[in-house]
This record gives sequence, structure tokens and C-alpha cells, in this order.
Amino acid sequence: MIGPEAGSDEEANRERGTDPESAASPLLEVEDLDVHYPITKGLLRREVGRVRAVDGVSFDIERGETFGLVGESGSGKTTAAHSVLGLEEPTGGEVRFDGQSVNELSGAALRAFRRRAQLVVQDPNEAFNPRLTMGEAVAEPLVLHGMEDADRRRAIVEDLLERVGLSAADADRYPHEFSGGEKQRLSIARALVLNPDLIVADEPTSALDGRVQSDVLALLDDVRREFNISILFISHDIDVVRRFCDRVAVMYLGEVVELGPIENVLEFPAHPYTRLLLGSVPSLDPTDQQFERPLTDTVPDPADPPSGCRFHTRCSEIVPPEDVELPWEQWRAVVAFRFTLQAGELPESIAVETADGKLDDATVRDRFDLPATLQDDAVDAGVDQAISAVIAGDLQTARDRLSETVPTVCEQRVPTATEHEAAHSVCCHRYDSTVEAEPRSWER
Amino acid sequence: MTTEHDSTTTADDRSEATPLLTVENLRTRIRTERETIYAVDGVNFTVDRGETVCLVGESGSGKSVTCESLTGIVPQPPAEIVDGTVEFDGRRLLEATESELRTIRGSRIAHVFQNPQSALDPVCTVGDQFVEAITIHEEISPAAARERAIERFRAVGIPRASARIDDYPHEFSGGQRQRIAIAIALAADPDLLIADEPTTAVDVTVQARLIELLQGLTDGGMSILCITHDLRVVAALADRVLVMFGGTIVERATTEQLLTQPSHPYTQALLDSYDGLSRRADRSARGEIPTDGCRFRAECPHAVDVCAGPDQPTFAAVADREHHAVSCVHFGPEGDPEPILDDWREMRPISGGQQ
Repeated sequence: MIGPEAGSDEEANRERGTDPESAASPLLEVEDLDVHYPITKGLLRREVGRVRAVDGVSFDIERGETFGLVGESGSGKTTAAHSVLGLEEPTGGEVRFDGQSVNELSGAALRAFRRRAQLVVQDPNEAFNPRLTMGEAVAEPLVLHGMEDADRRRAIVEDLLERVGLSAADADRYPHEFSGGEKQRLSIARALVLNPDLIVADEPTSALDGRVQSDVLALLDDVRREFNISILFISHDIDVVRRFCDRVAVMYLGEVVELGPIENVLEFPAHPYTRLLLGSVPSLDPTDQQFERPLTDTVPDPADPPSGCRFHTRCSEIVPPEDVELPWEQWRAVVAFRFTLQAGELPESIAVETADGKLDDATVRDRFDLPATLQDDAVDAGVDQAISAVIAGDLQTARDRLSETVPTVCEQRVPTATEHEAAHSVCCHRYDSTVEAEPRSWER
Repeated sequence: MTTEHDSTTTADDRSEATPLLTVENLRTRIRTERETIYAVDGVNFTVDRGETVCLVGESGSGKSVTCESLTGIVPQPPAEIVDGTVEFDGRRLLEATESELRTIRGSRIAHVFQNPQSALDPVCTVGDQFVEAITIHEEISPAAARERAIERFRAVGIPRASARIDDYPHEFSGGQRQRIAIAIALAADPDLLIADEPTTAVDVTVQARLIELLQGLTDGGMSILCITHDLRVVAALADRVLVMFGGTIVERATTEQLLTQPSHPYTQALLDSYDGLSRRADRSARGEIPTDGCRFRAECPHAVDVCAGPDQPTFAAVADREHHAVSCVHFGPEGDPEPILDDWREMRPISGGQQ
């Protein structure tokens, strides 16, 4: 534990690379981070549940490294980034910056941290006060951190504006006089003005298009190299992450499912969710537009994530029970049937026909790609009963039948991170040596 | 000098059935206190039935103003449509009255916007908004309308659609709101969907479903005019592509032609930057875009004196290809396009194995 007094020491040796000890440890360490939000109900705001926005996330970032965090909306990547900056109080775990716990900082040490870790947000249009000139806006952090000398501030700002590809004269213009790309350059200038060690860039280019996006990324890359800044780069754009990041963590419903060097993770993805993400990006070849399909389309509610592996309800590679003998396509059809019923997202054709009492066995099988008989007798019997229950309108019985018939290790056990290759970890039962299932091959 | 009609596409389209939408010489100006912006400056294109046409270009290139001018939803003033004709299924839209346009919007031509908030009413449940969108144009029982709402919300990837239909827009995430806006735009089964960056705000797995959804709509005969800056979305959706710069179309091509042999220097620069690392470093030098001649000449490595106009360069076919034409003097009768085509060979071809 390092108290606030230690802050001034840290202040003294903040020159990057001069302290051998700090050079050895990662700049940022995130360990078992939890950010849970209570769901309250009624007048007394009784806690009835928790949204586990970030649940047990660990990663670290080296000095000068660009670390990507990818995932869909609701995966918790922005919440994780905000906790890194101390903008969001974690409910568990720890964030250490230069060896010190961020949540225990106060006073001078906290101010120092706020100077050393900066945020660049997605929408540059909302990042500036319309009544301040850009010079004032970029210099504002300097004022807040106690630089009194206006001439010096002005000199720093002018230098930075030129560095980000604008001119010194732009300091006297107002935000509305700039385009989106120029504003994003200005927010990078503002982030740089305090000479930070870490920039957290939350979708910094997704509000920009084409060549402007590429300009801003080139700028970020330049400043990173020039000042040896670490960047935590949050993005949903795989192309951008591939070009820009050294390592990447893939998040799903608050958890990191795969983490490793960029070329390993994006060229040879191991986790089925990473494979789904990559397989959902349209190819640049107009004649090749096959998308990877999840097992079911329903995205689970983060307030009530699935048990075991959180991805199992959508996972195309879900592990079959050891005693079930089915060809892969049949197994997939059966589990897809099961989890579609479980999510209550019945196809409209079936839901409508149930009301009329016209549904028959063949319609259900056809809709779910289930053959008339399945090769495994026990599964076949269970699916028969489930289909009868669906026809009778008794979905609960159908669900119960199926979960008895095709249980899976993926819903029963929480997978642990396994070192798949050097520095490449995967959180999936197929990579767990105690589970009898091999990783499936993958090809984009 | 100027040819207002694009000889390669228009002639070909006319030989078959009349296109659903024909836009000729569209010019829209935006007057501000200080200046007049030539937002759309002589744009010609067609959209066939069942066809998807993508408009690509960066912000400020006039893509959105072009699309908003078609049904008159561009705010006038400050904008003013000063010239051109827009013919949709035999009707001239620029001459139509506001009440005629109102009937066409929604039932025949639907818009989906970049920002779903602008399309959704914050004080109505999303289900009610969908039902309202259908019942304006169609006789349908409330129960059937509600059922269709659930089905469509599910189709665009809203989880627990049947339970969430009575929720308000603010109870959904940004991505989900966009999906709802698309579902509502499609409520009355329009002939033409004008989609302005429809998938920009959604996740890739949802985008894949939306692309499949949009592909399915054109199979059913609907036409789509889609604005996007994402070349992957273009590859997945478009039959033909129009590239805009500075209020003008600079290149038109089939999707495959565009991705394998981008021919206008601007298109080449755009494709070169798709992955966030452009090879050309002179980015900060972008200045004012000229309002005559070739709008790209100030940034173009191949600019010569005749690029200054005064008219936009005549469209010329690329390598005698059908459907592929550029507005560039080097492709004209006196020009030599080889240095420009060589440029692309030096950049990486992004569509594997075609070049």
C-alpha cells in the first residue's frame, strides 16, 4: 500500500525510463477488476441484482505499448477504461499505475496521476466548450494543474498545435470553426499538453471517416513513438486495431475471453467469440460475403449473464457431453434449438402457428434444421419430447427436456484462462486439458 | 465541356426498364451568413429496382445533402435546391407539393439516418412508433401491427423483442436504437430505402445480420440507396458505387470494379486509407476545396492546368468498361490514364487476388 505521501516521490522520478524499477514493471496493471452496478427496485431501492459490467478483468500495458480492447457494445470495454482512469470506482480488484493503486491515490499523487493518464473521447464535437478558444481549451489542463504563466502556456499550446498538424494561429479560433478531424487532433493536443504516460483512447476515430480517420491514427502513432506513450485503445473496428495495436484483449459480457499479440489473435483466433467477431466483418471481396453465424442471435442481458462460459448460448463450438454421439451438424442443430427455446426467441412462424394449433413435428424440425431422426438414441428421444411439448405450447417442459438431454460443460463450469500459445491466453473449455474437447479448426 | 449525363450508365439503364429513381443535374446550395456552399453541384445517377447503390465519400462531400434533397427533407432555408430533376417511379419529386411528398416519404421512400435519435420520439414506446408508421399507410389491425413490430424488431436483432416492445427509446442502447429506427423505416415496406450510414453505430455481429437483412430486402425488389464510408459495407451491399467529392460524383463503377481498380485519384486515396494507415504523408496540407473544375485538383498528385475547369471533367470510361467511368481529364480523349492506374498498382490492391 502506498499512501499519498509517496506521491511526491513518484512525482520526482516520473521521468520515463530513469527509474530502473519502474521501467521493469508494466506501466499499467489491471488485476481482477470488477465494476458491478446494483439494480434497485421500489421506494427503498432494494438491490435486486447486479449488472456485472466488468467482471474479473486482468491485463497490463507496457511502456510505449498500444493495447487494444475490442468487443461489442455492452462488453464493458468503456467501463473498464474508465476504471483505469479512476473515473469509475471498481467494486473489486485493483488498477495499479506505475506500481501504485489508482483507487488509493489522493492529494498530490492523485493530481499527478490525473496528469499522467489522459482520455481522448469518441466524439470530438462534444469534447470542447464552445465558448472557449481552442488555445484556451488546450491550455485548460495546464491552468488546472497550476501553470500560472500565460506566455508559457501559449508557447506550449502553439507548439502542440503545430505538432498535431494545425497552425499556431488556430489557437484563437473557436470549436465550431474546425472540422471533426481537426477537433479530434485538438483533443489529442489537449491530452498531450500535460506530457502524459498513458492515453486512454475510447473509439478515437469512429466518428471520423476515411482519410481523416487515417490521419488521426497516424498522428496518435507518431506521438506514441515520439513520447514513448502507452495507449489503451478501445475500438470495435478490427481493421484499425489490427494496424494500430501491439496486443489486444477481446471482451464479452464483462470478461476478457482472449488476450494476446495482435497477429496471433486476429490471424489465428482461438476463442469462438473472437472467431465470430472476425467472421462477422464483411470481406473486401464482393463475391465472398459469407458471415460466421452465432448459435443463437439473442445477446444475453448483462444483468443476467449465462452460467459457466458466458458465451455458451451463442457459441457455435459449444462442447457436447462425452456420452453423446452425434455428427457435428446435428449436435449444433440440437443445441441451437435448445438455446433458442431458452431465450424465448421463437421464430415468428412457429410462435404464430402455435396459437392456431396448426404446428406439426415436421415444421419445427424444418425450422431448426433437425433431421427426422438423430443418430444418438437418447438425444433423439429427448428432442422428440421437446418438439411435442413445443407443439402443445408447453415451452417450459420443452426447455427442461432439452437441458436434461443435452447438458454441456460450457454451462456448468466457468472456463479459466489457459495459455494457448506464448503470451496468448484463451478462456474456453476447448483449451482446457481437463475437458475432453479439442479446439476446432478455423479459417476465414 | 460538361456532359451532364453519364453516358456509360444512363444509356445502358434506359435500354432496359426505366430506373426506379433518376437524378439529373441536381444542385443544392446552402446559404450561410458568410458564404454559399455548393453542397451538391451537378449530380447524376440512377437506381434500378432491386438494386443497391452506395454513395461513398467523406463528410462534407455532399452525400447526405444529395439524399436529403431527393424527398425535400433537407431544411430549406438554409438549403436551396437550385437545379435538377428527380424522377421517382414516373413522378417528378422536386416539383411535388409538400403533401404529395409527405405521402411518398414513409410509404414509398423511407429514410434511415445516421443518428437514430432524430428518428425516434422519446415520449412514445418503440412499439407504438412502429404501429403508427404502419397504420398511416396501411389498413391493419392493431394486433397484427404489433405482431409485425415484434417480428421486425427481432429481425434487426433486438433481444427479448416481445418484452421490450413497450419500452421507450432511452431504455435501449445506441446500437439498439439504430436497429429500431431501421425496423420502423421498413414498417410500410417502401420501394426505396435511403440509408445514411445505417450500420455505423452497430456492432459487427449485428451489422452482419443487418447486411443480410438489407440484402434480403433487395431480393424482394426493394431498392437501396446507401451512404457509407465503410468499404467493407460497400463490398457486402452494393451493386454499384458512386464516389463523391466536393459535391460532385467523381467515379462510378460496379463494386468489384471499384475495389479492384479504383481509377480516380481521390478514390485511390480513399481506398488506400481504409485500414487507418495511408501511405501518403502529405495529409495536413488539405486546403479549401475548389468549387469548379475538378474539385480534387488541389490535393491531386496528377493535377494539370486543364483540371481547373471551369466545368467538372467529362466522365470517361475506364478501359472501355461498361459501368465504370471517372470524371478525370487524364481518362479523356487527350489524356493518358496509365500513370494513375500505375499508382494503384503501387498501393496495395485490397481485394485479394484480383489484380
